[in-house]
Amino acid sequence: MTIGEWATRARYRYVPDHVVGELLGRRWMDNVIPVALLAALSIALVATLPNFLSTGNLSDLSRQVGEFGLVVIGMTVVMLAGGIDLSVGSNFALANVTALTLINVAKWPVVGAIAATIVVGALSGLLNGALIGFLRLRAFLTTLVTLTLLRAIVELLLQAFSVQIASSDVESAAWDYVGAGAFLGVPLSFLVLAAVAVVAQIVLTRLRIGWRIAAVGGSRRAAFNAGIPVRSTVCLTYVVSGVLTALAGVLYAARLSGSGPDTGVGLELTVVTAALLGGNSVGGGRGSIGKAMMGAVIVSLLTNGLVRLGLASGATQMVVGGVLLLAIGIDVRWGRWRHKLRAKVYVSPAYLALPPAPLPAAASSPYAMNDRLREVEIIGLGEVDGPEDVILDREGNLYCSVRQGDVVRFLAPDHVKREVYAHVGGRPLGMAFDKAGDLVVCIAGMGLYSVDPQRKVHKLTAETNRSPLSIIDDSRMRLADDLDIAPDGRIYFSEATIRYGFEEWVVDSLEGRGNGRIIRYDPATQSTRTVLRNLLFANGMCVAHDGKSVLFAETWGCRVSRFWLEGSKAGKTERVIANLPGYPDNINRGSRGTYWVALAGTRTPSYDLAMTMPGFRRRMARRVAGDEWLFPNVNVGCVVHFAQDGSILETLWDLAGENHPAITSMREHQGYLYLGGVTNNRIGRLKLADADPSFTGQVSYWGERR
Amino acid sequence: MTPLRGALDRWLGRGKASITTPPLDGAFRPNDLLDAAPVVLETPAPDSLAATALGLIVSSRNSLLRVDKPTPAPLASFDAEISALVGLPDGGAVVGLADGRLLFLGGRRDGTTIAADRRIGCITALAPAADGALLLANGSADQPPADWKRDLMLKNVSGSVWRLDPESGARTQLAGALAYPNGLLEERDTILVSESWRAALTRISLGGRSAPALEDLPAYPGRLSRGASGAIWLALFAPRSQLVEFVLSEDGYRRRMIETIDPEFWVAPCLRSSRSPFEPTQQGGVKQLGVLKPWSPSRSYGLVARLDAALRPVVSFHSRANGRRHGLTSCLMCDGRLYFAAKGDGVVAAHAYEEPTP
Repeated sequence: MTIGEWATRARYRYVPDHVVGELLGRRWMDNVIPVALLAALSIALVATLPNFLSTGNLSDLSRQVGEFGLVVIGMTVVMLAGGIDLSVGSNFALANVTALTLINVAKWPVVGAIAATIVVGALSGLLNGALIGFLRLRAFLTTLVTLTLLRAIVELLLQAFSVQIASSDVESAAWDYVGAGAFLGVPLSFLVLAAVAVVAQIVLTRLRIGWRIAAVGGSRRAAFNAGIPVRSTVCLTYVVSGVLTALAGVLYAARLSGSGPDTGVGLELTVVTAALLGGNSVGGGRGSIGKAMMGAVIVSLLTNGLVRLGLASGATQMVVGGVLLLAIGIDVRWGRWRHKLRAKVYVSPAYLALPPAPLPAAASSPYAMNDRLREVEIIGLGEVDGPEDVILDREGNLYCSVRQGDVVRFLAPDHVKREVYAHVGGRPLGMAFDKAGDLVVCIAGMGLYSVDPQRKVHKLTAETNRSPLSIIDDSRMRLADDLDIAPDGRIYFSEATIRYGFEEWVVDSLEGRGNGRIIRYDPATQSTRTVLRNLLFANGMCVAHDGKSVLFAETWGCRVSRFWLEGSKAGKTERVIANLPGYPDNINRGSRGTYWVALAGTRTPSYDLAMTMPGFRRRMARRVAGDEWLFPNVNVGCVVHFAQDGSILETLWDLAGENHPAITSMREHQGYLYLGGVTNNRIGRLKLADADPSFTGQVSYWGERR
Repeated sequence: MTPLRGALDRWLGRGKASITTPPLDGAFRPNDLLDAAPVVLETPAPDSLAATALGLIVSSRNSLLRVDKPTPAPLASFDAEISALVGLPDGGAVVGLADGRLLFLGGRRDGTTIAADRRIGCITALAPAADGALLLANGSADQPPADWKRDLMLKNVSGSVWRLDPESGARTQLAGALAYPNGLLEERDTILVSESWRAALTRISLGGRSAPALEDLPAYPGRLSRGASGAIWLALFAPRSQLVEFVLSEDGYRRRMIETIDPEFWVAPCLRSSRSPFEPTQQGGVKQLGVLKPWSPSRSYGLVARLDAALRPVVSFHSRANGRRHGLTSCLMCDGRLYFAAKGDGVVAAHAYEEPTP
């Protein structure tokens, strides 16, 4: 091995390229930028500002966050439904002056004053909501107008009452507690925020109205067509915003007990900045309370830090404006860019050096080429679409799994009459009969199912334990491929790849990484466990004649292995055939203690070379159209007969691929071999010269009929 | 700026470095006319067609055969493979052998042999000039005619066009640095050359200057022959494909492929694909329900085009991916029929075609 090759191998073994694409596919990736920003900002502030972490400063900061965060939550709810509320600044000031007037001038009791202030906030929210939701005015312009209107009302109120507010003295412990109190050291306003955030989170994610708000924001027309009352939902979001803003105004009033003309001026800008920076979408439909809180904390930290750094007030505004521009840019670009990048980097080929292929051209080779399969009889020509697996029952009826999601049956003895045995849906692939005569089927896209003799379809399992460090959710089964049943009834089945569905299985060949696994389903406890991982396209499964181990094929690895179920080597894996001249698919039992494995295609020198050059394949995947990709030669049919120890007994070929290209399965039954192919429109039948004419799979697995 | 952009484009695979091939559209809309043409002669690897006083003849490995009146014995046989053949105005013919020798048959110079020249070891095409001289296309400076695939995958641009005086045997080079000249035709005082690896026709003037005449062909052009009223017939012997162009752009893979793999199994164009299960295949070339789709990507194809006097493609005949007439190395119009030699499939066939007259 040259140094270059060694470096390539090390590079692709230790750098997990595939993780990038998987990360970009996760929804929580939306939060990465805000979290990173928050962390960086916190570190910077702690490092630059002395006593930033002092109790006094933190308490002060958390009070500010408490008030500010409430408004941001309101804004987030509005934005989630696709709107925007610019009137929050004036509404905040209105709540402030209302609360102070009622407490200081009118001498209302604290609870009554707070309730009345919140009603005022709700009414101004309702004004917005009615105009935007029911009259369908533009949210931006309407709230801009209410911003001015409410500000005018505030000015009038201030002219009338500001002197009285400033001169009167309030002796109320409750009011002081609202402004300055703390519970277990946590300021009250922060506790209020926490409570509101928890409630809002539950409402938005768990309650019908929350889903409706997100649905309206995601697509107004689709929400309308789904029967959601769009107008009242939109109206409601503005009322929520008004209420939360008023609540924040009350807390502010209690804290500072003063009112001036500049209260809440420019608040709308910082609130929108916070909501966007947290990752909420300005277009609606995408957002959460968590994002709102993150944005609120970032912006509060930023303004607090800037003030304490002693910047002029204009400079603070400038920084906030710059951050808002950044947030808008990220909001617009991130979603699109992420999906584009993911589409580019998801396919990530790995280094795979196979041992040199055996040469089937040599006559002395056990794989010597012949045209034995050219003589097969054809069953059901044109009546089946892609019989991936074939199997026979005790009566000799022939079953196959076809593309339309059916299990099709050809009736014994001549296999001419055809019927749909059961419609299972999905893409049925491997099949096996259990002891009771139920037909167990692996279905790509669905999982493991069974069809009982009354033709009723039952789901056995569609979920397994999730691997601890996997980024994509590998608990769901995407491509259950083939199965076999151990004598104790436990079902072992392969999932070819966890990264692609059935339509994209060819892309997995380009990757050549161990994306496959073997899963065990125990019908007694109805439990599902993954028993082997990181297999190179786990495919055919076959329980050995003695029932003590299960043979499995790894297609891209061109090898067959044995997984021990019992005995001293239980749980261990050992190689049975290390180096096939083609890509193995299903494995099944033959008579006289032998096995059959189908080769879906032959290895080609050009593809073997490409498998050792991951960069070449990655560029091919990006630059060349899918139809033009280099691919193993699957236009050749081949079946290999091997013994218990893995020695090759004989090989049957259809070199021209005229009768049977791409054989994916075969079953021996009473001296004949039945052939299926995933891209074929026929089933083949070949008379075997030296097979046991009484052999059937049913007897081999479950004995004579009781 | 430009070198930087070039490097960036190569790294990202865009701009000039993007992998594109011309679509089969316009005059190149696919049809099945080549497969429908009746067989005239079946012989292994028919290569070059020529019209002589004896009628139409074709080269097949070491032998010359009559096309219109097939005889069991070949017309002539040589001790080396024939790599080029052309009919002369006097009714004779010239044969170029793979070892570089030239032999005259029939006509005024019957039996003359001109010895090989070490500078010209890959005679791919011959053409008579109006003044009695002979024009030679030397495909490659270092590869013999049988190794054309290696010449392509090495990205060689070492071909040349020569003028030979049959009286004195003197050779003069008219143009060099051509990407596998593979067809020749004298037109007034210029020479039209098909440059296979550039997928283009090039016009060479007397002074030796070359200028592109027709570019962006969808397949690799081979031999040229004359049609009625200034038209030209062009045989295109193998298709361009995205995959091959991509491999050509991937120097690491290309180098290791050339070093370690038998040329038969290279990712490269060929005259007939799918002969062996160890040849490369492509995803779109997978048989579906037992049928190979005609539009599936293929490393071999059958294609003939008729170019009008201004060298615009006007008509084309095809044998598509599932066809049985692949690897057309030459074609010739004769008695209202278009004869073509499908070297990949060992067939000479003729398609009745009436050339439009202006």
